[in-house]
Amino acid sequence: MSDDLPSTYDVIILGTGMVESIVAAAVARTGKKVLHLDPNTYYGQLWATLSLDSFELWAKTGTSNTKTLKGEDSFKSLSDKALKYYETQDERDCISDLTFNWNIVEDIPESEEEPKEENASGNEYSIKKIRDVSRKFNIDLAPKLLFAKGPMVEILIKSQVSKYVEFLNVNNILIYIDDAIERVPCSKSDVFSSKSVNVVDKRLLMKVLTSIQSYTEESPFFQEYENKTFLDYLKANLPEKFANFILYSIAAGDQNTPCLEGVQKAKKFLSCLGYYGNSPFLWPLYGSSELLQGFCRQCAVFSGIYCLNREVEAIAVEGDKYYGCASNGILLQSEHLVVSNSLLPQQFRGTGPSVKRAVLITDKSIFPEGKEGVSLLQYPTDDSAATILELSGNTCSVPKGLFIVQIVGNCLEEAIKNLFSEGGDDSKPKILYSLRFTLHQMECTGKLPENIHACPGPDFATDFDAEIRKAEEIFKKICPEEEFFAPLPPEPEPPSDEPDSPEEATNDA
Amino acid sequence: MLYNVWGSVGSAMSVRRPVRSPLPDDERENSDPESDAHHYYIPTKYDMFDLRRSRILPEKLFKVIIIGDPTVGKTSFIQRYVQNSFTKEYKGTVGVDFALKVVHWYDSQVVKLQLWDIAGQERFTWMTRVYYKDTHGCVIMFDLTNKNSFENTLKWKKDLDGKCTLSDGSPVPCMLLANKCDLQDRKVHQADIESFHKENNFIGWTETSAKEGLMVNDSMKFLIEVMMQHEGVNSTINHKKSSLQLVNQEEKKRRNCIC
Ligand SMILES: Nc1nc2c(ncn2[C@@H]2O[C@H](COP(=O)(O)OP(=O)(O)OP(=O)(O)O)[C@@H](O)[C@H]2O)c(=O)[nH]1
Ligand SMILES: [Mg+2]
Repeated sequence: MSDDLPSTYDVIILGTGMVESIVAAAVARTGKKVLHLDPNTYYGQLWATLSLDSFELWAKTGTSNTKTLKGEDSFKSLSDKALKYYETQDERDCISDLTFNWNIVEDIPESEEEPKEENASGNEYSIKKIRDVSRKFNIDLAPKLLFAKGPMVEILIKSQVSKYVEFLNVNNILIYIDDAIERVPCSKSDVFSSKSVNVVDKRLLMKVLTSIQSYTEESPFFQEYENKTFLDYLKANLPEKFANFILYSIAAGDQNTPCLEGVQKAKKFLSCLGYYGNSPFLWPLYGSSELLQGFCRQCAVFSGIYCLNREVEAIAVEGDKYYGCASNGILLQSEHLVVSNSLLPQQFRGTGPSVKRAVLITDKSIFPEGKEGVSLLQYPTDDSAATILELSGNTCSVPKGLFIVQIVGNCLEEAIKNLFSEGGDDSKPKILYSLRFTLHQMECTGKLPENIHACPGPDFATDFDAEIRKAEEIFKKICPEEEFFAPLPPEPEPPSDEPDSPEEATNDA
Repeated sequence: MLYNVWGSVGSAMSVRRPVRSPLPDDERENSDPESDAHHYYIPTKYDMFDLRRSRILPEKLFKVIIIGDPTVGKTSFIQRYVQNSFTKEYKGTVGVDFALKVVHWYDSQVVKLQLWDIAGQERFTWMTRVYYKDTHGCVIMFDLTNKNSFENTLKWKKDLDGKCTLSDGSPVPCMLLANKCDLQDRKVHQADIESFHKENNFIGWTETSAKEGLMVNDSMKFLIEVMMQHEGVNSTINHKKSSLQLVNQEEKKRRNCIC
């Protein structure tokens, strides 16, 4: 690789995760000179969206940390200054307990294909057949949804990054309750028109939804539940089934969610209804990483330089200030460094909370009676809940007829056992492929120099609110005087030339 | 193959005899959008010629992306095509995704081209998918005096085909341009380019010089013609989009009020 990169910048950004990419665009818009690097050949690190080939490769490389530390001395020759070098680490450390397997035959010989036709669905798939359409898969490592009225949507519109991304409504909000999947009536009009809710329950539900919607800090209504759980409040006011609807699906909570937190989350959900259809959530076509790629594109349009497949081996510090990055035998210098937590040197990196995740490819929808598209299912168990996202062919994430299922939550094995089949049971979707792993959040533990800004990797929330907040916080440290994504002056009409020989147009007029 | 007529033009420097189109000569002359242009390429269908009799055609908008290694001349090529100028230090407009070029196509058709430049982005062949998204045509460029940039065109092609197709699932029509043909110090042989472009499913190739303005209009004309053909096929399928685009609710309201 040729090394014709300029050597000084205002900001170097290491890692193309969500927070890093938002910061990249925000900072570049103010006119700062940005260099954005990523050790991988794709965007997004643990936020990436991958084709099936790349996804399988990612799984195979698995948890193997390929990084070998070189020792500080190997960088000493890069500069005459008295610099201390901290070697970066591998994002692979965020993954553990990774297993995967195919649950279908390797290949179906041509000749056998015809007579096998009458077999039940699921049997006609082979690994080869699915791998042949690898590019039709866009599999997320960290899928997240957008609240229709949330901060991500607001920033996408304000920044105009929204023009790069299209969305689908999450059209089935579901819950697993009493051994069956049910649609959750989300809005008051849903409740009103629902056939599965009787008149008495309708009135109770409407009343609860109304008091949640009208909640403000001052409202005395919930005060008696100050030290109780949201479930306590719901159970006191609703039959258990509906209490669960609201707790798990609308407030995305669990048994321990405090009442006020639950009310606030439920209120947010309800306030996002009706903007883009009758669901509070949006899902980006082609996967979540479209968002971060949109921010990267904007950074590039504002002269940011991008270099993937490019590692920074060590971070150089002079006294108590960050100085530059050692990369590929040269020292790249900048005022600020924005870096993904997962890549932080060991002196600064600690392991935070973790969660189990699974990705399945299946042959049938978990909720065939629903609308085709995106389904969100909450699967509560006695001590926690799993969140299940199912994508069908029209999301551009999977070939028509197949489904991608993303599961988050420590009780996911129970959910998988009850919702899917490994073969035999034709009433349930069959698992053709499955991958399971544990995702650890990395945290910044040491005291970093002031001009290094660390970015969290994917957390376990369903939305991007925390990422936007973090990006804005970092932006304010780098550009204290500037507004976060200040609106741009109206785009000058791009030069639109008339045809080279104007007489042409009038030739036979 | 349809496009070989042009694909085998080979050298931009050699003056080609126009390929005769089956239209009467006078008619073809009138319909020629650019006076210096030759027909290197014969469309198999003549819908365009028929349609033009109906006069008012909705304008067409095409997104064209230009990719290739650093310094091969992508920005210069766009500048030459759009502004008909060449400056050594031109860097494109900061903050703008694409340059717009309006072409009057056979009198009755207005074609708007969005020319997307990679804008300092992606020095080494890994682009964001959002850049490729919804593209109708592609130019992959290399520098005749830089062998490495020629070899990398394959990586660029693979990156594109891996991340994006036309709406009907077929590969994006991709034209190979060998730029800086005004320079003496060539490192790539024509015969190699010729076989390479065939093996890798480019719709055609030619030498260009953004500096001298050689084959800049002609090559783009060829690409437009191919895109018009695809458009003809695709518009009959009529893909209805069910996806949502985010808009500012207040602005949307305002706009509705004005109407
Ligand atoms: N002789 C000659 N020089 C050219 C030609 N086209 C571009 N150049 C020069 O090549 C250099 C690079 O041109 P650019 O248009 O900036 O190249 P680019 O592909 O946009 O480069 P990046 O933006 O870095 O990816 C400039 O110095 C141009 O003047 C050409 O046709 N002939
Ligand atoms: Mg350029």
